[in-house]
Amino acid sequence: LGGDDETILLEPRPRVRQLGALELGVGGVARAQVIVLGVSMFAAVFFAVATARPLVVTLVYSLAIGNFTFWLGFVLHRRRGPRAVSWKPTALAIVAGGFLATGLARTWDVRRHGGPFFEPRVLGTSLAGTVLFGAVVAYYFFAQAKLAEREATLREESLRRLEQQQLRTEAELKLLQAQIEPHFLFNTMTNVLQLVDAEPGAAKRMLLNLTSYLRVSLHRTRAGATTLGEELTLVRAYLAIQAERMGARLSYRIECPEELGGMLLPPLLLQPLVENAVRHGLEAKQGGGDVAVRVTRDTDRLLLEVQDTGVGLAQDSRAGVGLTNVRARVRAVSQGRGSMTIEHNEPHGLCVCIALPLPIAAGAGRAGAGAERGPP
Amino acid sequence: VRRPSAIIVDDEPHALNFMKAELAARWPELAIVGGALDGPAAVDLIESHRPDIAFLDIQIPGLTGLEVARRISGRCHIVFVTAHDEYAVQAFERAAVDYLLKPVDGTRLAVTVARLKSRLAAPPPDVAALFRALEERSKSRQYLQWLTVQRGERLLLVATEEVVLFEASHKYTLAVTRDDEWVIRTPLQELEEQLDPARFWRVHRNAIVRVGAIAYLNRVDPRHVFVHFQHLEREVRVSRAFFHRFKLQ
Repeated sequence: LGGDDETILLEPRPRVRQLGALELGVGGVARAQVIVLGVSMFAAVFFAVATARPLVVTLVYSLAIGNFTFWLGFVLHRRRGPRAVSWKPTALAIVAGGFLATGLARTWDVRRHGGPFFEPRVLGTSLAGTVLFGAVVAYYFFAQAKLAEREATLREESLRRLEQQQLRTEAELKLLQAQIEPHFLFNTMTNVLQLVDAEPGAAKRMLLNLTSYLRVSLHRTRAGATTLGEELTLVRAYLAIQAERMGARLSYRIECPEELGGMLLPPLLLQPLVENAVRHGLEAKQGGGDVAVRVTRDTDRLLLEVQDTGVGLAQDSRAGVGLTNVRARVRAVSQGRGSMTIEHNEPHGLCVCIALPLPIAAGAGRAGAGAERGPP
Repeated sequence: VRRPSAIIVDDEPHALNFMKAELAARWPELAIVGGALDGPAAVDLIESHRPDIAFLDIQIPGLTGLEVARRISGRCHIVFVTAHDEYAVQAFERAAVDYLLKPVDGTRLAVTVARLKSRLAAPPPDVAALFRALEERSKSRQYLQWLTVQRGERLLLVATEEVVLFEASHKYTLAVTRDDEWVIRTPLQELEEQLDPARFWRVHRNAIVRVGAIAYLNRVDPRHVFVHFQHLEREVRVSRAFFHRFKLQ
């Protein structure tokens, strides 16, 4: 129960769009037809002069060849789907279109003007016309495909930029909200109120721990970057407060080589894992258990490990949202090169391990790094 | 005259003691007959001591304060105590159930004490209305959230929210995430029944996709529609039977 579902919307809503070289639409089809007519006219005039035949005859041939090769190519490509412009249907369209068009035009020509059907000179001219149109049609198709692809890339890029901007804003907002969890604050206050009279020393300690927890949290919201040492200060303060609150139900240990304290570390990786382990793992468990935080480095990676003996992940566990967010953050701050595994801890509880490739970039911790990179 | 009695349930000892002290100050006649640190202990305590009032913290291990209330409904008056539960507080308001916010403020506690004093003569109210108000929320929680997958010797957990696509392959199902593919033993059909239908859509006999991961649809021709994903170079055919999900003809 409660309003602490920390969902970060990392994915924009699904979009529906169509890509395609030959999804021409009415305007595109009309333009293509004008081009076919223009080239046909030009070819008709050229062959009329070259072969000394009437313009009407060469026009019939060139219109037939032009329209057949182009429209056959159009139909063949559409069947294969948009964007799929390739040599095979183009070649098929040119050869088949050339044959069909020449056959029909020749039939008409022979009926009208007489002479044998197979006349080498006419067929040769027809072949030349087909080659000419073939070149135009092939060029047209490939140019269209390229154009569509470029447009699609542009569109995708601008969408991605928009998404990133949105993600950055959301991430900043969430970073602010994620700093101080209301349950934590109000429950701690209740404890302080009790301890003030009963055990003033413990009350003082708790207030000091709360102070350093708040100081790191608030400072970080402004600064964006943090170091491993600072993160551990936060985690230590948090665990000390929780241990006082939960009494015998929580024990913890933190292991980290001292020389790693100065290392840069993006915020909101280690802290949420620890808070998840306590809140969803141990607070929910009768009798409690323990939390171990272990930081190590090997040659090229920093390893953050949080192990608890809590209730583990039930199907309805709210820990899930938090862990999913941390995984998204790992991906974002490491440009997809880091990893996070969630494992069952034996005999119960969870073991979560984050591996970050080294070196860690100085800007990686900024809220804006929440924006993800898409596939190339 | 019999003194009214109460128990306090809170998983944090200091918080429990604080409540005890505040109550002692505001209502000296009230006998605190026990305290419990978790849900099952609270139920036992109520059954053995039959107190007039139970102050129930909501976030306690074993059973939540709400589950305790459901079990002992009608046996004693209930006051819920919570640090911050916007949703529950709304439900309390709607069902006219008494509640206190932590840290408990003396003035506010005095109001609750006065109300309890006037109600003690009557039998404890049934809190069924509260659970009706809360029910809707619990319903949405029943879907599968986690998959347990095996890699070598290790059992890993993968959130269903990270799965882009489930694909049937022979006897198994393939769960595809952005960076990985996992084999799980649950058949696709069975999986479909466990997944949240608002987030996971069957698009083909062999495939269930997470709607949130879809980038776009590619309609190659009227009968061939493919789903493309945001961070995964894959396409999945949408079969005709599922066109309606995408408002396609």
